[in-house]
Amino acid sequence: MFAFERLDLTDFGPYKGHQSVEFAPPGFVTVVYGENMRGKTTLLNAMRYALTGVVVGRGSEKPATRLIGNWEAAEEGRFGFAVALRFAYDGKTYEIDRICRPRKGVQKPDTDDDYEHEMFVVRDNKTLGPEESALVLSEVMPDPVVRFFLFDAELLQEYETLLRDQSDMGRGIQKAIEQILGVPDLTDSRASLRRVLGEIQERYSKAAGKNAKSQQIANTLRQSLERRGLLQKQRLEQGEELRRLTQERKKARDALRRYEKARNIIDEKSRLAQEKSNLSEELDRKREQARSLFEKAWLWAVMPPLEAAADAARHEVDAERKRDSRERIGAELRRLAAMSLQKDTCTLCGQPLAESARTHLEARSGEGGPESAGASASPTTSAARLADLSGLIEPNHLPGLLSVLGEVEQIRIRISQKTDLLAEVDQQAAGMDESALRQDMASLELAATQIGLQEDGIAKIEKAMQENEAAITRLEKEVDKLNVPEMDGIRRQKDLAANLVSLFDKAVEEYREDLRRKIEQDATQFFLELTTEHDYGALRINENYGLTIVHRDGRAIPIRSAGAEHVVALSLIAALQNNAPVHGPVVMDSPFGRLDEQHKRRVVRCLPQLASQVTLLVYRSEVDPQVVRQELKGKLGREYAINRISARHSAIESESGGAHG
Amino acid sequence: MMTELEGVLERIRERTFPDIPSDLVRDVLDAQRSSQDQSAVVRRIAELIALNSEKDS
Repeated sequence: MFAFERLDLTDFGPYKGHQSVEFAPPGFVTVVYGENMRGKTTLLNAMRYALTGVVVGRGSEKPATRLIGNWEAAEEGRFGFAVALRFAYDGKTYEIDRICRPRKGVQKPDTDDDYEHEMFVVRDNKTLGPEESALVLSEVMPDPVVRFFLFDAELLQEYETLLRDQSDMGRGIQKAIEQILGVPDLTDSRASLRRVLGEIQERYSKAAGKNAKSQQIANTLRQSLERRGLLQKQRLEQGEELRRLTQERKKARDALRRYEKARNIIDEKSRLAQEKSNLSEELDRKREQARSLFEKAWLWAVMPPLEAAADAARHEVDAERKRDSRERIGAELRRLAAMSLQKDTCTLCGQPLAESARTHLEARSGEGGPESAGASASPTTSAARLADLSGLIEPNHLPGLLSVLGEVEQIRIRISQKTDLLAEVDQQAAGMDESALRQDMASLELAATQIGLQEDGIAKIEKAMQENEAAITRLEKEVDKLNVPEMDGIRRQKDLAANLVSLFDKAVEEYREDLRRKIEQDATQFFLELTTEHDYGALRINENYGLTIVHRDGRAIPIRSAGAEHVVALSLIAALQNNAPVHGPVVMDSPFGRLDEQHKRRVVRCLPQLASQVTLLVYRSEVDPQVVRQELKGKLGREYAINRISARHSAIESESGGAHG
Repeated sequence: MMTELEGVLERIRERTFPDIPSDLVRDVLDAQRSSQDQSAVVRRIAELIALNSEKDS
């Protein structure tokens, strides 16, 4: 049994001064709540640092040492940090203490070289020597298997690579899976046995050379053994070279990933600059519009009296028009009456005028027009006043002006936002070196070509090795047949060693097969408890330990969501924990981000079965503390909250809940 | 108690290599687990094989 007991931190990340977490015992869950940027991932990193000496930043990059220590403490002149992790393992109590401090003579450390690291392992109150300490660390939690004990959502996502073709990452995870399951015990034993067999075969060939009967075969055998040594050396060198090239490729890929980021930053910068420029032009146009509207907006105040005066003028003009019209009709009638009297015939119907009509027309034609009746004021006066007033009357520009001013304000806000974003992007773009990035692209291409050639070379060497091994076996059998009595002892050793190699060969194969079957079975059981999809029937494992969801009808689900990916990854971890020789503690950092409420509940409920001891680092909106309490019930061991003291200072405080709180 | 891994080794030994002593298989595994010094492990395994082959003679 392996279980964390207590973690002590000093000036580590946001944990200023000395702070500690006591873990709930095996069988119980410890929950630490903390909002973003309060230090949940730092707690995970503190445990990783204690166990492996490594701190991992975003994107799996190693942060600078000066950034790991507490910034406020550094401002107060305290540089460096310390972490102590106490745990129980195999019936004993251990404590790993790691201290990072400035080297002697360094007043204000800056680079990683300005710091020195110290590590002690204490077992049952006795400090171990360096060799024993290293052995304990490699046994308890070797670096590659840490990922199954301390993980976040980003790491869970990586398990998807196990489903694809063999990638560098996939191979690494596969190796780590086999390590946690104890496969290296077998593969390392087999490698040692092969070395022992090789040494025995050398002695066997020498013994055969001393005997006249077997001397001739022994010469050929010795040549084959020498060739074996040569081929093994070449294979080793080629393997080393392949590793180096793979590293080169990884470095170039990482750099290109950064380049991708840099290119995105440059694109973003150009886009933001263009948007800002467009907004500035729009702002100028709107300001001009506002200025123009403002020039006329004051008229709004004098508009009512002007409109009243214009109305009065309009009435006068109308009245004048009516009067004018009546006068024109009267004059026309008089003119027609005069004409009729003159011709003694009606101008309109052409009939001779009767006496009575003549009398009437004489009377009407004598009536006076407007001139005779005393004319009123000139008809043009009112019309001219109306025209003057109409020229002054404007529509109300005030609402339009207010609207344009509102738009101006909005544009100014957007420009200010773009300016802030540009400043941020500028900061990200600082220090980018395009020529270095182009060099990385060339390196990647070169490494890919060289890796291909190297792999071809290795395949040829391995084929030659196989042929040589077959020749050695054949020659040894020929020597065996000669039954040289002096060689009995060494022959027995050779046969025993060869049989042991074969036994371990078969065991590696069978153990891997057994593990795959058990992991598939356990992961399926866990998955079915976690998933809310009733049509999912099982998980199917592949050669690389990748897991595929299988529908009840037996068909594989080809595409799965990020949430499903997460659930599958958790199922794999649970199955690995269940099948590993050592059952250890699991610490999960914000693992619920991609899960819906139902899945969150189910995962929380299953936490006590996931591993022997679980610590959950979450933010409250990721999973409701009430849900945690309801689902875990008596299995909730301790609850902590990471509280903000300042932006660079967080405090771990125990909450009242939990069976061991 | 035999671990899963030891169980697999024993199963194959019984089935395919009954002449190999069970203790020797376990001792090889223990030698491998007990040290990180690969040369020391190889020496120890060579000793174990020499001892066991003498027993057979």
